[in-house]
Amino acid sequence: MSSPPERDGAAGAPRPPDFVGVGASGSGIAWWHSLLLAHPEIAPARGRRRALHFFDEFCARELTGGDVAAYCEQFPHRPGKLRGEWTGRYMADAWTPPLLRRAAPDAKLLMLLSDPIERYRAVFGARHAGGRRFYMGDVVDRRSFGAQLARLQRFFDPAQILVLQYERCRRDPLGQYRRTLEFLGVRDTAFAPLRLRGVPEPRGVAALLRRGRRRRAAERLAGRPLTEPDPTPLWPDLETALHTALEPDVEALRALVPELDVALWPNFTHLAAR
Amino acid sequence: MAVATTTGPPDFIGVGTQRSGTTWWFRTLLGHPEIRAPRGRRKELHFFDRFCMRELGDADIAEYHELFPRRRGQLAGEWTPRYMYDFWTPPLLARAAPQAKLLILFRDPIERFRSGVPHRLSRSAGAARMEAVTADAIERGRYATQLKRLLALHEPSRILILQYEKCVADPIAQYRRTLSFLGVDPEHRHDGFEQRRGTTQAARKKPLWDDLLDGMRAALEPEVRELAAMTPEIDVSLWRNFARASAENVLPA
Repeated sequence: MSSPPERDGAAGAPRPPDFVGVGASGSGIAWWHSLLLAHPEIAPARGRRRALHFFDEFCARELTGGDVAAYCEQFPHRPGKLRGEWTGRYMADAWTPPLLRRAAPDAKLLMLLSDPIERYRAVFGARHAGGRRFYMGDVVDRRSFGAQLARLQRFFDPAQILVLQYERCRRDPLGQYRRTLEFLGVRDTAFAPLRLRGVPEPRGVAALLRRGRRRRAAERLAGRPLTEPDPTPLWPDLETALHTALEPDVEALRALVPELDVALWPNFTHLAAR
Repeated sequence: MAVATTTGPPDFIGVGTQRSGTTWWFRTLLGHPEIRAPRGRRKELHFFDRFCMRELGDADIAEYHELFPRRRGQLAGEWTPRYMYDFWTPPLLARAAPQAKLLILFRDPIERFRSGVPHRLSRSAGAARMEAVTADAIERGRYATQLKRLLALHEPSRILILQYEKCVADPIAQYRRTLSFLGVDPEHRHDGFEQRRGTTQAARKKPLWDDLLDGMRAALEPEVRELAAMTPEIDVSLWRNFARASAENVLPA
């Protein structure tokens, strides 16, 4: 059973979040966060916002004690509940890890990662469809997960960080959900949201709805994000450049996260044999 | 009688890095009688920027070659500092100018950041989001990552790595080194070549605070360490934001 919506006015004293999702944008974090909020022991930030983007502005000015207090205000204490947020860009922004350590030193951090080149294809397709001049270097910077995790670990104990793999969550959502609950330290780790209670993916319905504008409804029925439609094809020079740019970073990520299964990342399956 | 001018692939291309004295160094090179600027005397052609959107065709390569007229005995080249930063450009350079010599001028990445942010803001007329500008300015300092991408497709012997701080401290020696690498008379001097040119952001630089420095060091120290291991010609002790790490033997000197 999902937790009932809370009224902000009924909330308790502010305190740092119990967990913070720090990445990665475009890797199913809205889906995973919504599953977490279905748990009766997990509550959202004030206003039920998933992504607070609280630290974004502190690239331009210093974070003060007053700012830290304002951040804690977003997480009013309620006994028996864990609260947190999930902002996909926190781990990509180099200035955020030291601020997060100051504002929420004991928070557990969640990362949900997906094949970096698949995400590149999706962003390319979207920008290409926009028809205007666009730039793609930022996408590779933001998908350099190995470098980002390494710098996060300079500010947080690796035991405080859970790295999840989107493709594994899609394949075994219940198993990965339980893993996430155990990491967060909720009491009822056997809880499963309705969406994950053995309901088979209604492929026929999803396929029908995918063609229309009700993608979100289809995803809700399916209990997981739908597969992206065929992405815009890239050309050989760009494919070469993407692999040259991202393979060393994926290797660095593997060294930091031994459980990462690169065989699940279609653009990096060849690394699995190494 | 008119001297015949031909076009073709550039003999040299400066590929990095922004806000590291590349305008000064390029103008210094152009003072040499054997070195010629691209058509229009532009330093930065930004020719390959658009090829993140579409494939580079043979006609594009021919168009690029047309930008480099030179007389017999002259070398022609350009210097676009973002070529090294844009991950899609190294393979395109290998196609469009496979024999070109590549020049890189590195500077203390945190000083580069301090100059790069006001530079970008001054050109964006308030349209740029500060988070995007800051993130971009930090990423541009990931020199080792960029150099590795370049080395995956280009021979190390065709890449000259210069250090801005060394060029400032001893311009004559570094100028001679650059000329020797390019294969022109290394003893040539011209008036005022030691004078620094280009735009300065010194008046707009702001002091950085501890959290931001900590975040940047966490991102850039591993890069500096790796760069120093890859390129013995980089003297990290000249980079004041990383000198402490160098002195503590965290970084190879």
